[in-house]
Amino acid sequence: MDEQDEPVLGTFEGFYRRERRAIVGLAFVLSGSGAAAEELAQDAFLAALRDWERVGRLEDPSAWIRRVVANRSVSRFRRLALEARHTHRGPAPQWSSSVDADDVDLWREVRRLPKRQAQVIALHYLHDLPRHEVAVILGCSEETVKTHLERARRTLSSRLGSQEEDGP
Amino acid sequence: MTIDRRLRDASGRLRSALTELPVAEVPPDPARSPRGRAVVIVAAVVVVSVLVAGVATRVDDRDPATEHRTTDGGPSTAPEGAKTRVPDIVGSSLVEARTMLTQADLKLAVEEFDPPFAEAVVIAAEPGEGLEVPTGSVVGVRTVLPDPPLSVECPSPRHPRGDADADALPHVGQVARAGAEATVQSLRTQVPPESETEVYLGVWNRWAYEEREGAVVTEPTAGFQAVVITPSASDCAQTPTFELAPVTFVFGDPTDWAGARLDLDEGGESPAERIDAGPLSPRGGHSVVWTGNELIVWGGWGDEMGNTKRGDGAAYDPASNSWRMIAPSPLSPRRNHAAAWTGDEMVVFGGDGRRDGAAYDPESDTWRRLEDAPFGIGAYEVRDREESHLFADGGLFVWQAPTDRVARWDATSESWSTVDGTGLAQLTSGALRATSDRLYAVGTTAYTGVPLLIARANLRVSDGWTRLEDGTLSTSENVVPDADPQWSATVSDGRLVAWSIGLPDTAIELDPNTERWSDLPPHNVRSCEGAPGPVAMDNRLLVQSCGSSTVYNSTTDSWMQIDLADAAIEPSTAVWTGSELISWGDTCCYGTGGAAFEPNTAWIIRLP
Repeated sequence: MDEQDEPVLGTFEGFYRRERRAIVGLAFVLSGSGAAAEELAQDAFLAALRDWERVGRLEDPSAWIRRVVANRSVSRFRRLALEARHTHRGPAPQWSSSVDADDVDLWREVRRLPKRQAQVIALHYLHDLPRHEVAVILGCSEETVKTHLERARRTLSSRLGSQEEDGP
Repeated sequence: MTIDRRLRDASGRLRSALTELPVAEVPPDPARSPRGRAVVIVAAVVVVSVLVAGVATRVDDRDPATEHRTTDGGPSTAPEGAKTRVPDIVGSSLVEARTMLTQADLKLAVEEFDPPFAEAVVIAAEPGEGLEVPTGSVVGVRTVLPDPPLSVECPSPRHPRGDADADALPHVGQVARAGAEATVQSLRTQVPPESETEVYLGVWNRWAYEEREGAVVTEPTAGFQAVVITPSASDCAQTPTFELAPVTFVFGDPTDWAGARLDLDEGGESPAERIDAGPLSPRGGHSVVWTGNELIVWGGWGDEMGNTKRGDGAAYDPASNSWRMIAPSPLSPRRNHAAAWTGDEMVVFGGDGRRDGAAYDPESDTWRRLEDAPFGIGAYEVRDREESHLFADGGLFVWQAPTDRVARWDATSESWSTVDGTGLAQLTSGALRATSDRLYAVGTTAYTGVPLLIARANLRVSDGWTRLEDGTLSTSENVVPDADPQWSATVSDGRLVAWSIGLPDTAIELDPNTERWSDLPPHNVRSCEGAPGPVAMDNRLLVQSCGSSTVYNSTTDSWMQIDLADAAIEPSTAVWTGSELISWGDTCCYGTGGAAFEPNTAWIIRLP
């Protein structure tokens, strides 16, 4: 983006309301915990809020926060800290408790993938993003995303006993 | 059903479930609230009394969520069936702790259990309530269990630890130091009622550290946390045994998980020393060069979206352990440039696909412009920029991998000339390496375990490239289908050594005379995606993978595991001074901080 061509600063509140569910979902897939996902999302939005003058003018703040959450969710230390905090808390949020058990298993297998592959799967499927948009978010080439997708699907097929058929 | 369909369906159902998530008000910023500003000193110590019952002992069906473990201030009390009582090392000095643990033969405590679901075991006694722990004392110990052999697969592993994965047991045992919040691990355990538990691993507790008159006082903040229990043997018919890593002490700064570890068996200090990272802002894609006296860091980018490129630099003098900013460069801010030390100056070319260059003289602290390179260097998609240039034989070679464009900048005439790179474009990624008289281009042709493809040129004549034999692997039976070999190579002790971080136990070296490959001794280094390539240090080669560090010594032709604490050494951001390795900067292409790279880290590694 040309630094002289700054987009108009949108409102953080609109950004938050528009993106929150998607970001919590992304964090849930990558962290495996509803409570932790909400906190990961909260932290990411807070980071955006504190730096909204800059983040809000980015060409795509949505890509920014997806990258933030995708990275933080697979961050070992951050996840461990969240686990520690949530161990003593009450039951998981209602929305995450209602996730189908088979799907929980599926997402668990996704988290067993290498981090980059898990991120690609989450962004491509949960957020229904095409490969080139996933590439922008993760800061890699579309070809790299394609490779990660293929490997991830192959691994998941093997582990879950599904047919292996390339997705788009 | 295809996996693609399953993922799409599951995604749709999750999106539906998320509609139940209330759209809350915009979050308040806790950093601005009085509570957020309060000094909260919370640490949690995973207190694991490692109690291995082996295959004979079974643990009852107690509910880990309700059981409470008492603390009496003394050594932990082993539940019935335990073989080993863990000594209370908390608050002891390092020497005392090591002695106690050695006498307790803690290795026996974790010798046999089913480790597919556990990577590390933390061994420590519980600190008693109100126990005063001197600042800097040992509060924990851990050992690391290697991954199971690849041949061992549990057909339907039922993991009673819930969603805790191999990373769930992190480094623990922080220095009991007040004034900082420590992030700590926990392990949520859900023991299936039908589980025939066999191994009782530990009890977890949380503790808070509070500073009182110079000492750190531990107070339990919560009771019993979890019991780690392996699944029944029927879930995993084969129970492999493993060699354990040496028990190591862990201590350091809990705020950033830095710190050193002491090898219990070796008894030596970690060769890794964290040093002042200097004045530069966090960044990646920067360059580091060694002048003989100073480490110069220059350029890079400061956020993941590439919006803030850097054009500043600084120099570190290890003799005085001090930094200085260097003069502003005439070059625009950039990343992924080619930089090298000519013997007199640091030259910088390209970056972000640019062609321009400049030279920096540390004596006069001045820059001057140089002739443009014949092609762009370090374009965004050419990610292996650090691998694709090197200074050798009085010139800077730049290979625009994965194309066949190669050029050489001559330091004497200060001019560029093209080098025939015919054939190099077939390498999907590439690295330039040089021995005393030859230049090598190293790469792979595919991701499917295809061995190394390599070419060489006479360094001085540059009369074209000669294809060498592919790197063959006598250990090819270890090649894992679908494994990404991720070859990288370096020159150690005058020999080209190729290393695969995607294949197990794979390292080969090229005989400079016969130019044939041979295997290095088995190293048992686990392969991990994203592991950095090897770093050469004269006759030694440092390899980091899966959090462990191993050194190959070509003189003794042997591997040795070493403990580098949290130092992650990336070849592109580390220099070998001839006596020590200095590393600067974040090693990863993106940081957990979201838009910004992690704060800079700098290390000096001094191997014995």
